Amino acid sequence: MTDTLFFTELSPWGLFIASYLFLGGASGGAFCIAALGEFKKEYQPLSKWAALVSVPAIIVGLLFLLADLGEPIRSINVFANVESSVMTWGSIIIVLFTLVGLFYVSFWLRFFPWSNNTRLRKLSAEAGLALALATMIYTGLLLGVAPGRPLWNSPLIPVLFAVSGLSSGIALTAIISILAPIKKLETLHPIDQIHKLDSYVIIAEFIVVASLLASVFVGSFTGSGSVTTILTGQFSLVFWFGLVTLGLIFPLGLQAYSRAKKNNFLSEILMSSFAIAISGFVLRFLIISAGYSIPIPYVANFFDLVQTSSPTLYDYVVTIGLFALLGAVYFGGIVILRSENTLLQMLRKNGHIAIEKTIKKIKK
Amino acid sequence: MVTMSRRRFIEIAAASAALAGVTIGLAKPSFLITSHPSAESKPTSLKNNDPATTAIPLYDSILYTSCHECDQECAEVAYLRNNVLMKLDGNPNDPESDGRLCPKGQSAIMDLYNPTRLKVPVVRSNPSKGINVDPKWTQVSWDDAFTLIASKFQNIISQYGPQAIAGHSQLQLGNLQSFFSAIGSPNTFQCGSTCYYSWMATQLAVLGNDFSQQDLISGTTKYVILFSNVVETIENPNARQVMEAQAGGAKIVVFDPRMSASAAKADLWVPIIPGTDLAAVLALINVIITENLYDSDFVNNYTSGFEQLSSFIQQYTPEWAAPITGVSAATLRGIAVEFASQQPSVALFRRGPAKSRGQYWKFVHAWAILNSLVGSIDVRGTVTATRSASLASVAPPQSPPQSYSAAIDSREKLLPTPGNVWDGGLESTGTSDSFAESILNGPYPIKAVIAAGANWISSFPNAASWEDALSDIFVLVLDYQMTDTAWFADVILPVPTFLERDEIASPMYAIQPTVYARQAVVPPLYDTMTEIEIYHQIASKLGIEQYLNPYGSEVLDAQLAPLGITFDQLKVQGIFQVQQNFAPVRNFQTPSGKIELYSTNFKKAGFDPLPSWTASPIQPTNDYPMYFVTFNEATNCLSHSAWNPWLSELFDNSLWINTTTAASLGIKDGDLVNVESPYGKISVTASVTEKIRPDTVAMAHGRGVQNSGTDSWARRGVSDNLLIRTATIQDHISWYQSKDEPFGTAKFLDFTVSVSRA
Amino acid sequence: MLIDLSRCVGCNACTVSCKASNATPDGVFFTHVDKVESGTFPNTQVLLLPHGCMQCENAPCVAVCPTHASYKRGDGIVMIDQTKCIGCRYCIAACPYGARTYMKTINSYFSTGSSSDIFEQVGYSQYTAGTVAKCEFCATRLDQGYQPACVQTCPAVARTFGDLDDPNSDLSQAINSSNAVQLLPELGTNPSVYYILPEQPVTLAKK
Repeated sequence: MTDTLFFTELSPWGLFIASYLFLGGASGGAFCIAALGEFKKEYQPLSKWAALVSVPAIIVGLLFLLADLGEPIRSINVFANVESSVMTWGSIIIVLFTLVGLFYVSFWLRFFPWSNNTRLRKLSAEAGLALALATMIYTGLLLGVAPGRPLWNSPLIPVLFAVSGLSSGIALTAIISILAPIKKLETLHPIDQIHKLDSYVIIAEFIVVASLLASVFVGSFTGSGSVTTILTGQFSLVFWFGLVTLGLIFPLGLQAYSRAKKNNFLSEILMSSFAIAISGFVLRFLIISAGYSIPIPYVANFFDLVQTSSPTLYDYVVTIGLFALLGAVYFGGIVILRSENTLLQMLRKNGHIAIEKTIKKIKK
Repeated sequence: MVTMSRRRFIEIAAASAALAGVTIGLAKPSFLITSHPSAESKPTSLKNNDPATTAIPLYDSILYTSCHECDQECAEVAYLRNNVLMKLDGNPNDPESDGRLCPKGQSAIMDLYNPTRLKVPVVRSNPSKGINVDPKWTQVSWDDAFTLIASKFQNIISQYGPQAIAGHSQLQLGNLQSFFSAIGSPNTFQCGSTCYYSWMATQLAVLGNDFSQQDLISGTTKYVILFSNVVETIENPNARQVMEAQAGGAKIVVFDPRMSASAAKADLWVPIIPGTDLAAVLALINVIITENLYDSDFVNNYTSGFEQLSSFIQQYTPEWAAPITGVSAATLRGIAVEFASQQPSVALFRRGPAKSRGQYWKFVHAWAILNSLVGSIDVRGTVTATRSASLASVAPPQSPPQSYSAAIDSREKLLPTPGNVWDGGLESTGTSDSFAESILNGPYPIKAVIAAGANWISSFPNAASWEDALSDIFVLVLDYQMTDTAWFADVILPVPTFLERDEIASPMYAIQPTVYARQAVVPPLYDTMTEIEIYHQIASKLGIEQYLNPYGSEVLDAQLAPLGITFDQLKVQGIFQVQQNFAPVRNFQTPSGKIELYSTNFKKAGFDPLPSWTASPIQPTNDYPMYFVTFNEATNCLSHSAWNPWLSELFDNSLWINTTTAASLGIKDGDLVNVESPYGKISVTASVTEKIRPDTVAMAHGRGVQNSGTDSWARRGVSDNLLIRTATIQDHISWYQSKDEPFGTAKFLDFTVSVSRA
Repeated sequence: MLIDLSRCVGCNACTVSCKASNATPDGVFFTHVDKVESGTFPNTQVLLLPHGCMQCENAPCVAVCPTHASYKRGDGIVMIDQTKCIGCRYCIAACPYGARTYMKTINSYFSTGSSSDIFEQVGYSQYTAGTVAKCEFCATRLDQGYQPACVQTCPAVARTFGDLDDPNSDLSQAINSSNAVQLLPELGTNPSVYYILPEQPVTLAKK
């Protein structure tokens, strides 16, 4: 019988911050693909869509952050502590990234006077790429400063969040590119390519996850508690299903299946990309929740006392609402440019699209 | 509530060991406390001129008063800002409270400003009564209320006689008694039979005085046996005494089936079988006598009956006690030897005897013998008699007519106290646990009752019988919160809290004669009247006000006159102490003038003159296999703490059940379980723990408010009283006649229970 | 502050004294006594652990606060400026001692709301909904000559308060002469709250 308030405070962060970190990472990851198109011509058809994925994502992410603040009106205060607060630096980076991202997007909207300046576009892509990487790393560094929470405090967390951000960004870019209006089928090849790339990224991601859990588990008593809650404790279902199955086994399995058939179907890319994106969100949520609930030597039976903040109806409504907003932005763009064929329409007409066959056909 | 597995225990043990090995290092944080604050001295210059903290004085008015959250009545100091009470602390002028308060004392602000307080006089407009029935309260003027009450009382007195009105005061019994002698009814009661009566009466019989004031002194006291739980119930300052004595080298031994906070802090916890304390004490006495460890000077000079005791005690060896108590003979022997050889040593008990199993009066007798054998009676560092300040008594301007006193003296009391058989000067408080039953089936009709701060439905067992008893009679309730009893009232008159009234208080225990000022720290918040004012108003309507004790500031001054101070002077420091040297009381008010180890008082009344052991006839059975004990937490006093949100938030009255037992019943921590006794059934959350014997379950007393006239947090928890039997007057009389129980003690816990998953 | 765990009886007088002194709303505790049991009957042990803000020398909460709402006073007390706090809870995430509470709303104990209780009305006015609050060692009381509320009231005299910087203070002497430890010293936070660990009671089993 134990009665404690010590360390059983609900995790300060929940759905909103998980969403914010997810969108921040995904936005950075998507921008990397946009920048890739600037440097490697074969990916250029994706640049536009990746940029359109990236910028709304970071803006909605910032809305999540604002929604999470207790006193959002005072949010300008965030820039006060440039000496030591990671959050201050992160906020500066994210704001700059958003501005540069918007600027980069403007090149694809054609109606700005500078829209045809490719050199400037490339320059902004370079600046954006640097800021995108910084954003992805920051989403992990944010958690890294907490000395009492070994799962967050690990140097692997920024790496993990960066890699996961990239995988989510790629996945979102793939989804939007598939749904997006196109002039030619020239996006098919780069979509296939980045999707293959994503398989390697998620493998890397899971190597980082495994190393993180292993190092934290052996690192300290408190760390072993956090890891236990993930592997076998109250978060095990989320971990094994939401992260491992959805984010690793399913996409890789599908990939392997396609490879075995020597044919990669567009619908399969769509499915596995959705799974990867969802698992990216799950990862943030899991790390936030399990990392906060640590045991402490004095309270050795703490594991049983771990409480996680259970989201309120308000949290669900706002989260779903903001994601719906993001979806609406994406979908709105697609609808507006609907006159063109989309891969989706082709999908609807032809059923499966076997990518390799189609590409061969096009080449002929 | 969580259990700890063995593996985790090893982890905590290892972690603690690692922790203990940590060297602190001498690098100190840059922590600069600029002043050395004390509660009283305000520093003349503040080096820390933090504008955020020094701009506004935290408190602009400081008043001394006295706590009344429990009967210890600690002197306290009230800090106000803009006439709002912001903080209470102990009065540092008071050596007893030492500037400290327990959680109950600290929480009194929330009683004072509690918006669910009773604020105006109300009468019910729905004649049907029930705990789930809305009384449809209607506000009335004080005068209308008094007119209504007076006419009810007048009718009842003329039709049934004054004895048809009964009353119980937990506020100030003297006021109620003054009113009842004015109307000519003998039927005033207090909670004695469910609490202190047996303990007081046995001491008077054996010791001729009350020598149960705990007086542990750090560095002096060497050995303490607690049959009580002073540390957990934290009757400030008793808990501090125990902890300081322990720090000063005293060994603390606790007998308790449950690991109370006292046991958790003790040097030795003896998880004894419930209700067998007497057997353990007899074994301790046996060892002390047979091994010649007693203080022969004290025994020869101040006690009588040692020879009878010596031969009587031969049968009660530790080996005899071991199977009865569940404590090994070696342990009992060891405790006895240490207790007798490390002087001064003392055994203490403090718990309401009625809450224990078996013949508690005999335990008190044995306890008195145990302390007497080591000379620990009225010796500093052990137990002493309270040194009371002598106040002038208050008398009514006119004595009630002879016929009234005759009626009172004719002993036609509704609830006689069987044990008041010798004139020990002890006020008879009546077997109040039979009150409801006596209203329903008594020898004569009771038509009106007054509950002054008394909450029978929550405080006494068998709430259902109380609900029946109160349904058909006129009920007048004086209280400041909506108790379940008030829910059955016909008229509720709001009284001020102790923070809104002027009176003289005295500590329950003090080594120097002491009085405290209890002053109104804020003017009454609502349209309230004090208890004595209310009686005066009713009496004035009845034309008998001249028979009541007077009240007011002159009366307070007159009471204090023997001390040479006025009430205004008392308020300055909040405390007045008569400094006198400690002179042990050695004239014992017994027939022989000595401590009667062999009690001639008991002998004369036909009771056992020595505390012989009789096993309780009620033992665990297949149907009810578990012992049940209750306890009082630091955050609870009687039943009135439920209304205090700060206390209710911390209070937990889940059922303690041993891990092994719980596993065998398939009960997990936090499960809802049913607890069933022969008298009732409750559903309560299980708290699976290693802190209790496997054959015993326990729960904290003091919750389970049912009426909807208060805020929801007040209704949290379950009442242990729903499991407890009610004794009838016939029971009390038959216990008395069979020489089982002389004092009308309630025998609350003489039952066992069964526990199952809900 | 030095807390002698062998003295603490777990009565929560400090908890309630703190509630009164700081007028903390429903569900908010700046200090609390945790009760942790271990062992098996009858060799049970109970650890009574009062805890609040540790007033760390290297306070992680102050470092991470993006707005300087959390700051350290000259005397080392970690304070919160409620007018600067934006409610990001970064400090809560960073605090290894669970000392901080986010007050999303200021909750009255009463269903009728805090306006029905003058104490709540006056006391809660110091808090802003959507910000973080914690124990400040009763800085206002200290500066005006009073002990922290928990220290003042402790009926078991488990808490001692004083000047850690002064090696001759009673507090420093007491810490040096006992085996006082800090909680989670390995984190390098250097808390200003020290604990004397209890000796566990001996229990005698039925034989």
